[in-house]
Amino acid sequence: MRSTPLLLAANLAVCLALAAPDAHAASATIDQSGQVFSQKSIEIAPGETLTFANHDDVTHNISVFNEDDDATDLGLQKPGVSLVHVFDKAGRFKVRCSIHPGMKMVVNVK
Amino acid sequence: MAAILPGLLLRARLRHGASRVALLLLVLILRPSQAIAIPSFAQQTGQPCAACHVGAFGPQLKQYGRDFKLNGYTAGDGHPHGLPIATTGYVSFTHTDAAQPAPAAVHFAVNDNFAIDQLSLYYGGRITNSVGAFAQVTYDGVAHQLQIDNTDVRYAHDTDFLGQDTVYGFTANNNPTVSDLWNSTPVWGFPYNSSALAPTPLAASLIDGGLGQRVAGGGGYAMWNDLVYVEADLYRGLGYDVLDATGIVPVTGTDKTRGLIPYWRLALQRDFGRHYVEVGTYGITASVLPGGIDVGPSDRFTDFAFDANYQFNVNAKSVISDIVSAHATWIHEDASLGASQFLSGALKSHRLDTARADVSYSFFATITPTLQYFQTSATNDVAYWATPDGRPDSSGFIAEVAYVPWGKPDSFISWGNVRFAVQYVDYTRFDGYTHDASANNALYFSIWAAAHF
Repeated sequence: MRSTPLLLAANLAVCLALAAPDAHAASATIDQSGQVFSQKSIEIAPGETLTFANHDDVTHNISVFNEDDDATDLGLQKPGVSLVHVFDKAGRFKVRCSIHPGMKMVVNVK
Repeated sequence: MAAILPGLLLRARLRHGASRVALLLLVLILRPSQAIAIPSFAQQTGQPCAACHVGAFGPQLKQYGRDFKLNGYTAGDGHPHGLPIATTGYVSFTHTDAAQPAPAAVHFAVNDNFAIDQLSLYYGGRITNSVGAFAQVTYDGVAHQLQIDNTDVRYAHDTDFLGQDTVYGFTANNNPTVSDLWNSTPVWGFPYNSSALAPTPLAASLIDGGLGQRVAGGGGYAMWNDLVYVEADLYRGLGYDVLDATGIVPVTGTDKTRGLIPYWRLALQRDFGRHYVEVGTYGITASVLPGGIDVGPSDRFTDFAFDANYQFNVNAKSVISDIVSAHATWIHEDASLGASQFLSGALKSHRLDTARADVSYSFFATITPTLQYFQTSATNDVAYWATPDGRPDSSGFIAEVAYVPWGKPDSFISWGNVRFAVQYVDYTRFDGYTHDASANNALYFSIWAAAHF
């Protein structure tokens, strides 16, 4: 019983830490809505993941391009489907939808 | 599709004294026509028509449609679909308020005409990863003529410029403004189809369809930071032998262009959430030999135009969202008529102004009513315009309602689409006169179908 206030304080601190905005979040979600990405750029650390959530009513097809312009095709993504991609190496990556060329964002991994 | 325009031809014919009835027939046969979306684009991308087009049927573009064209018709779902071949066709019924003085065209009556307007075959889509094409061959069921129609082959690539994403490319085409991304410029403007069997006003500026399929050329374009669009093209007139071979008729006695024809385009666009705005300018300058006769001097036409677009997407998450869409353009033409003055005594200097503005509201990408106001005014010249007092001014309204049942994500037909439309053209002034202008008013029903192979 006496330790309860301390535990609450510790839990609160953890929750606040988790809730705080963090450009280096271990996992972030990018919304695909209106045939645009919700962010034009994001910065993450190597090994972290991005979740791409298709909130449109049409199919998308995301590709991730490294600095050598080599593409990783994440495949067709039907409406309502989310895809997770791990960015395990540092660098600047372009994310494009091969179906919707206006959908563009940059992922800086450092 | 095609915009073979009677502008040049009319001027020549008018100056050389052809009869009014013959001119009317010529206008009807050579009236501007339009292109539409083609299902091979939908097949290549796996997207419904409504993803690219307001009202789920072309050619009115949404942002995705503009992006698709900007990037060279190459975007796709990564799956092989074979050659991107598609076909379209439309049939119609035309009724004018008064019967015309002569049959509307060969094999047609003076009023109440059914027609198979056009049957077209397209290559529409990717050629390589960076090269794509929109190329059309059309059988004109009113003129009974097979012809090369609008063609736009382009290369596109994206890069960084001044720290911002930039798409650049090259286009080879046969009609100034066919390469444009917006529906405010002549080739892709409203009305998207219209009667080939109703009277249309005589006067039009050179860029307003006067060169369609009668020139060939190309140039470069770039979109910087999704904000600034620039394009510069050079064209050259096609010889009579080439026009004859490509089915662009009539040939003999039509105007020729002399020298190179520069075309320019500058536009600014911006998305503000659900709102989209574009403002821009475009123009062209060309030397023309009336009737193809080289008497030394030529007529020099310089067109300078402004345009604007606005779209409001009620629910950007859905491709079948209601959309408000508006377009406007103003084209000013200055003409120095050295050749026409020599040949027919026309005034040396002419000006011509055309203004058009339309607004539509698309309900569920299914029902789309549109209203347009149009007006053309020009220098009065009895030696140049074949109207009773030499005035070519025209103005009026076009009202249209289109119904498109398919082309949506849940449509049970994905290989084709159809558009039913009723259109009414109301003239407040026609070729300079207001009394009896309404005799040229036209009611036009059309059924337009599209499918891919």
